[in-house]
Amino acid sequence: MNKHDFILIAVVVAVAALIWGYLFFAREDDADSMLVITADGEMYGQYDLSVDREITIGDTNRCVIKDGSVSMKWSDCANQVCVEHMAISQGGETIVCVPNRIILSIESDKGGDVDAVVR
Amino acid sequence: MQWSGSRIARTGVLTAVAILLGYIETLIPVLTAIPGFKLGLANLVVVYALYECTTLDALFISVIRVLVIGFIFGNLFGILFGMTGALMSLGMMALAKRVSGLSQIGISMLGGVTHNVAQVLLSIVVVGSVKLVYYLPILMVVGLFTGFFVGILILEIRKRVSGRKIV
Repeated sequence: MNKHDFILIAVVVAVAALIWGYLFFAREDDADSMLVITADGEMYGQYDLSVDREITIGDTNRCVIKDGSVSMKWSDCANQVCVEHMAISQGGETIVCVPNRIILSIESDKGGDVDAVVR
Repeated sequence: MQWSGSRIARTGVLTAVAILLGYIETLIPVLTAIPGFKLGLANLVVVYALYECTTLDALFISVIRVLVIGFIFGNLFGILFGMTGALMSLGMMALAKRVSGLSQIGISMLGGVTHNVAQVLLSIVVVGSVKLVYYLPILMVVGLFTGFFVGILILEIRKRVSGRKIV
């Protein structure tokens, strides 16, 4: 390990901290947060976190809302990263199924660009 | 530099070791809290080749390793991700080895970070959402750690085999 190595570590950690800090402070209020499902880059649906339910997304994935947190219960993809992902409940957290291009994310209810709310 | 018999044999053996390490890695349960977390054991061979052989050898080993591992244990999707990570990290390491003052460990850490950053960026393109930036900070730091351990291993391995005829 030499001086350059430590500079590399410092730069990487600083950039990571900046991105994390930005995401942390850009995060909206946790109150009234919703589960937003995006499939193929388009909005699939918005769901209330306080209602326990199971949601089937297309033919490929199924997620479940339980006690205010969301997890992917089933996916037909090969890597199963989304299924093994821990449950999410805080604003800004996401579970992504990259092969099926599906994103579960917790977002604030305030976004005004969404027309329909599925309950 | 031409493809002598010993160079072909050495590259072949190293490719086989890389594939084997890739297989061993599939047996190790991954940390599920961090999606995309990998030890990068196969990177061990690539960094080794970068120092003990040539950049071209490292490229061959890397590309063949990703294809073989992908066809045996993964799918085309995995190959796309593996290839992106492997090529970006190898490119970055080869460049940094030439122009920067990084030690072997530093080069290896840079490779780990680049591999992860490239895969996150690719997944942003594939999924079509910048939300995946969320995983960037943790995977950057993870890349530092895995790169560090790979670097330490390479240091120890090279101490023992460097200069000796292994094939």
